[in-house]
Amino acid sequence: MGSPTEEAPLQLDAQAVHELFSQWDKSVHSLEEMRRWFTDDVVFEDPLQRIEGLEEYWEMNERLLKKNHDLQIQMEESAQNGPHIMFTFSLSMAPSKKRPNVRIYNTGMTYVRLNAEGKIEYHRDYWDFNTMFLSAFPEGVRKAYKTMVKKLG
Amino acid sequence: MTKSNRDLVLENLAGFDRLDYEFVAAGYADEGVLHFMQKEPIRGRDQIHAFFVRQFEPITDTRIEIVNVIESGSLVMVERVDHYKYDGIAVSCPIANATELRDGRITVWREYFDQGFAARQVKRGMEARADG
Repeated sequence: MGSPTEEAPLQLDAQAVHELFSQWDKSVHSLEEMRRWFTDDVVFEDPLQRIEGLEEYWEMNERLLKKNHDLQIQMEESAQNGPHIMFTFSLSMAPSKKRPNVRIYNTGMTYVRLNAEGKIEYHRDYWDFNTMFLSAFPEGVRKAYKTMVKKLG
Repeated sequence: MTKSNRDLVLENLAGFDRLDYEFVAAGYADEGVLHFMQKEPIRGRDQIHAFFVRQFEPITDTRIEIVNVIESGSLVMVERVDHYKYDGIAVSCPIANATELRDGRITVWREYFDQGFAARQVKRGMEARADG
């Protein structure tokens, strides 16, 4: 995936988006490099929030990278139809540097839409909050929580 | 004429609108897998049918709103909003599914959504009902 310049306009496709999102786990520095692939008025939605605008979108991503450690993302299946791209992913990260063995895990599916220039103008993630939250706890605690939720209806 | 994988997935989703879980389960291969990602996968057409009948019993008035569909070979990916009533309470839940097919049958159906999003709507509906 080449860097976008005035001479070489953006040409994101499913493979390029796949590679782009795979860089997410590297560092805040690489995150900064990725900004150019998004529109100024990019919209992001996931189970926790709806964000409008590149600045707010980037603040969210920087917070995620600064607050969590050893973020690892595996991109899985992807498909594209014109400006519409979807892919599945799995991720894991350590919420605390002091306890790197305590990791949270999740799987999700992403939809992105490209504008006429090939930049990402909409990004939506589908994942389950409880799955991620509970993954930080030992198996016994997770089972007890699920049993309790079932009993309480 | 052979139906595309895209058509087969959309037809399967339309089965939910009719609450026709026999039709929905019949779309799976014998050893097909249904995986709500927050739960253990369900393996086998009969088990999938039993799951729908059991789990979806309180559900009525289903309408699946398709937002985006992409087909890529044996893979179909869908963004949708499921509208339904759970025990009479209206729920709308954004969902994405990634579905793999072989020979016209579903081999794996993975569902990605926030279960809490739907649960909170049911909880609010029950509280409103209790308040009269």
